[in-house]
Amino acid sequence: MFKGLSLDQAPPFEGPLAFFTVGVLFGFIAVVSLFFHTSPIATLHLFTLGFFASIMMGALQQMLPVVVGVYFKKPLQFALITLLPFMMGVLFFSLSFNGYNLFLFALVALAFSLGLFSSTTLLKLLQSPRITPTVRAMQLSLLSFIIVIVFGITMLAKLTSNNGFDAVLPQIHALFALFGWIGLLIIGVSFQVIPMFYVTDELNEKIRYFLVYATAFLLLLTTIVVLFLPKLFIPMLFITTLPYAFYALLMIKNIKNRKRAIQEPSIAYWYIGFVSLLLLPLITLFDSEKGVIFYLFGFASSIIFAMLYKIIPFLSWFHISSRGFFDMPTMKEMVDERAAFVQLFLHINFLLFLFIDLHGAAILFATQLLIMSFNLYKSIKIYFSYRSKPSPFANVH
Amino acid sequence: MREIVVDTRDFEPPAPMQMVLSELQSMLEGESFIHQIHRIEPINLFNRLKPMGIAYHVKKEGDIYHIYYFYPQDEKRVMEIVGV
Repeated sequence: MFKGLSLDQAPPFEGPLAFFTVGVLFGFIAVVSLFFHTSPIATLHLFTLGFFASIMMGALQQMLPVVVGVYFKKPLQFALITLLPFMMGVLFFSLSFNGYNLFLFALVALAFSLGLFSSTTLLKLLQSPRITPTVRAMQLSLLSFIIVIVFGITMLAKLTSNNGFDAVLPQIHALFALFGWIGLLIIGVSFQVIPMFYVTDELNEKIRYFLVYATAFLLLLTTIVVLFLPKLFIPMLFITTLPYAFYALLMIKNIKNRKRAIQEPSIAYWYIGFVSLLLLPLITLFDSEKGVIFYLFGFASSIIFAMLYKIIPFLSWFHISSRGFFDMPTMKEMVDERAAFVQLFLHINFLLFLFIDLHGAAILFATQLLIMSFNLYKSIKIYFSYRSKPSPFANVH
Repeated sequence: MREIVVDTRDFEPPAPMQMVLSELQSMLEGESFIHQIHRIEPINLFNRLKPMGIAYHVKKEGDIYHIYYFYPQDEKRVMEIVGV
């Protein structure tokens, strides 16, 4: 059984990096969009598609060979032909909701890029040589993403032909986006990267499978109930959040028991993400809209920051060292921890502001994106400075 | 032959790889070999060793991996010492 972690078939760093960069750019655009009081649907999708989905697509491409053992034959070309139409699609989508009739272009660009990405990646995942809770979670996450895309495209098509649609369509679209695509992907990835990066024990395999299947089952159940009894949306949303709270509890306990309790920014972000999940059922019950916002930013964005702070310096270090260089800075030296802790402070304030003032929260979000970009740029610059040098391995026979 | 033990179980990546690569510099042909104790198979490290001409052997006991690194010429002696 595969027990190691190999990056040797990992895509070149440039592939996922392009997705991460585009994600951060859309994060800024989303904040600008919020300030100019443009369409809420446009702003929401600049965050969900532009920021969250592009970073998650980049991470998924990176993770496939590392944790699943499958890889794309031409990773850079694949990244390019999905990313460019995706960017166009998100921009067309946003403009369409702000007075420009570009629905058809948005539909074609998003259907092509997201359809190609999700179907190819799911196909790769189905070919995985081994099934683990992580693989299962990723498969179900991708399946949810396809459902999200199908529902999204259906709504766009209806808008293109000036037809309206039932409120249940966006509800199911959002349910699968939040608790299927985003949630299951984070759950699956965390099972593998937390023991690896923070030297914790693995959760029991039966518990891991239970978490994945319980999450997927409740998502499906909620969808069916909402289809027939739309009035039960809030209680069902509450029930859907319960396995997430249980997962968070287990993960907090797991991380707390790690052998080397080193304090670093990325671990704090994981904690914030899990504490947010613990609070989620309660928030959802009182205000479902706030619950969704808190799920996206308290949970998902915290985990994204945790992952970026860990994987960008690690990949930079790894790709340089695999070419035979051992004189480069250490991972610790690649990131300014003080700046990362300043960002962490802003992030906590940002989460509090989500309940008080959205504009204040948006400023804090943009500021922390700016700090993170400058901070992680250092390790990316180091990677590129070594990339052009000839490998010392080239002379070893 | 001297056994250089490197217990990397409690270290996060990339420390285990760096620790073994650092010890490899003091490993001498016919005189010493490295014994790494780790929680996974360090596949990335194995791939780094190929161009360096270092051989290795993996022994699994429960959840723990014992990995032995040596010069190919020392394989027989190392295998006798570690009881393989």
